[in-house]
Amino acid sequence: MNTFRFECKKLRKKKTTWLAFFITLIGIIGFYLFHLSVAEKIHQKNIAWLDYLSQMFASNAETAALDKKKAEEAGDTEKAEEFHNMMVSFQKSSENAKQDKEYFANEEWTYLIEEDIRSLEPLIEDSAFSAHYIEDQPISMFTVRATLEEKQRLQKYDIVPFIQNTTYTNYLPTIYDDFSGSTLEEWEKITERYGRFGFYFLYQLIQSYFLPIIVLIGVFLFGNGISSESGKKKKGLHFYATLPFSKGRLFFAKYASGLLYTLGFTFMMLLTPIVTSLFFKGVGSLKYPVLVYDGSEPSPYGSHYNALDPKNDTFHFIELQDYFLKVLFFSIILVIFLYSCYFLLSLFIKNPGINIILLGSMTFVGMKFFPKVYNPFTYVDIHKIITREIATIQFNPAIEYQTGMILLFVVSLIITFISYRFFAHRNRLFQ
Amino acid sequence: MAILSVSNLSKSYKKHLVLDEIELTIDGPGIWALVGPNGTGKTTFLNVITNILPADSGTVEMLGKSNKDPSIFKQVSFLQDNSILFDYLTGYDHLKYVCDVNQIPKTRVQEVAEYVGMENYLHKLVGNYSLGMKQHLLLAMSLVNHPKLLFLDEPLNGLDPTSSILMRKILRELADQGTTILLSSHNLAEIDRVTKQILFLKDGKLIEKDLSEHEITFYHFIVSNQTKAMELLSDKYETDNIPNGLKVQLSNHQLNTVIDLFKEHQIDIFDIEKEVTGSEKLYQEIFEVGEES
Repeated sequence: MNTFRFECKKLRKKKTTWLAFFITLIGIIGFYLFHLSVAEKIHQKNIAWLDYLSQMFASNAETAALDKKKAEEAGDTEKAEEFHNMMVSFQKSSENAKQDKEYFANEEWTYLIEEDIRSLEPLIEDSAFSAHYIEDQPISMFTVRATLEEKQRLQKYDIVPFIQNTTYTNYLPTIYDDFSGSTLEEWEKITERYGRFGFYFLYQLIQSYFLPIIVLIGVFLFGNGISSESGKKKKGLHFYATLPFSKGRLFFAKYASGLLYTLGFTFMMLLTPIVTSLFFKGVGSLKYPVLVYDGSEPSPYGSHYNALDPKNDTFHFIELQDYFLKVLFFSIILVIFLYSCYFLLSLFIKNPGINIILLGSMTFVGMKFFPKVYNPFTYVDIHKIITREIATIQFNPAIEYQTGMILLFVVSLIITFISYRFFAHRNRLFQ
Repeated sequence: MAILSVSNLSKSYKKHLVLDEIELTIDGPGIWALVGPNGTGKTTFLNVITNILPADSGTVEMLGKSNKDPSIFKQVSFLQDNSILFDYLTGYDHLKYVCDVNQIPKTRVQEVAEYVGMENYLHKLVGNYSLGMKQHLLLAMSLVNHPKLLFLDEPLNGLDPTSSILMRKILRELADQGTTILLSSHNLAEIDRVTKQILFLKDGKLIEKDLSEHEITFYHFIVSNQTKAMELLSDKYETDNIPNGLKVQLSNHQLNTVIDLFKEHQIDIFDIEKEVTGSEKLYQEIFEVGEES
């Protein structure tokens, strides 16, 4: 315990650690503020767009009224009626845009969500109803169904939605959509979401690999307990060599202290956006619905024929609090896993820079390109594991949260054991 | 029971044999100096006997226990080089930890800091220490556990004259209190002042020498007529000029003869200082080093 406490003190007293800590902290706060400002800008742009629409329709209505008058004066009743109908239509559109603008400006999301529900419901109820389109490409029925249920949940719990770059239906993008070309760009633009609240922002960060990045920074800062002290110039390990305790204990003191600090660092960084948001927009609702795919039936003719079924595949939602709880437990396991990998690497390679590049590359290549059940790096993208996105795309229901937790933990134990054996061998603990 | 017993100890780096079947037994308290040119393996020898480095063969026992038993370090200390210190910690942090692992009350920190004269900078970061201050800290760390056997690797490195005097005083006191000390050093003049028991390390072997059998005494005379004094003695004794006087190699009974000779030739003697040496001469003989080199 003395050595563990001493190792903790050493980690605490390194100025470079604190510098890196504060840079990361400021980076996250800065990113949140930037994200918030972009969200506010988009929100204002949406309001301005509705204002423009309202004025444009009003102007069109006025033009139609003038045309109607001219047609009446010319005695062309048919034309006059046509212009009258146009005028009424423009006036209605102007009123609608004006009303929407008010809702947006006052953030009366209930009405806006209600409008979305009204526009989506007919698509579900009547399958003969033409689908929604972006440019000339249809939005998948799965996306429509998921979006509708999301809106219904937002309405039920009176939850403020994300800001999106559109004044029309705020779609929830899903893996079932298959757009291409400029339509894909447009789709990505209008479905990109901007969370202004702490929980929402964190939720989005997690989707953008925030967790592995933060853990990698953490292990880079705190995982060099042995490597930094076994160089030619700095022989810190020799300091312990002539002290009256087993060097096996030294290994665990160094391993555990670094691990504890990496865990602490990770949780502080996860908390940072939430704490920061308290000074700005608040934390948001933990009841926000998170889409979870139920998966698709694999083809009986073989994996080559596997295809998602947007009409019949099912899904469900979990609340953001359940999502965060899973992320929290997973974070612990991910820290242990990546820390163990880094610790083992650092026993062979003394340069922390090389180690972090190696581990970072392994993590992202393993995560992106080899989505297999027994590849531990598959589970690093925890968002896609919790939402079962990878399992659905791979038609492999075994790629799921619990498998990931168990696999990462077991692999971590094995790696730690290898590290210990290597350390013990090099330090002649088993003579 | 031998305090230190080294048997058949060998160590090589790749094909270079550094320690060659070394045998050494130290039975009682005292100070032993380990001497050899750079790269002969003095630090390797100390590292191997304290099990920091593995030996290729042989055994080492300290106070009746194998050097592989970590519990021996409750009674054995090793002052290593300052690369083992952590720059971002204070001297106090280091000493307190050494106290903690030895299960010694932390009041010992202040005690030992005062003993080695580092109480003024005990709470400063080691990164701001001078070389001498680091040596003091290393010494303090090695004294925390009241060692019965103490190894010191170049303890006099970077010490100013005041610190050197203090270090010598501490080593003598420890030896008087029953501690066995084995120190490596390049500084032959300092070695002459602390011990007469020397272990020369040459070609991987230890050569034990008792300096008292090879002692050479020089007398430094400060005289009124340096030239005349030189003329009188240079034919009969080994002499050398020093500022305002001369240095003469003499035995005790020859001293009176020289004093009488100066009186006879009306040369006034203002001061006489005795210098006992021997290690340098022995070093030259053993390592076949000429004066010109």
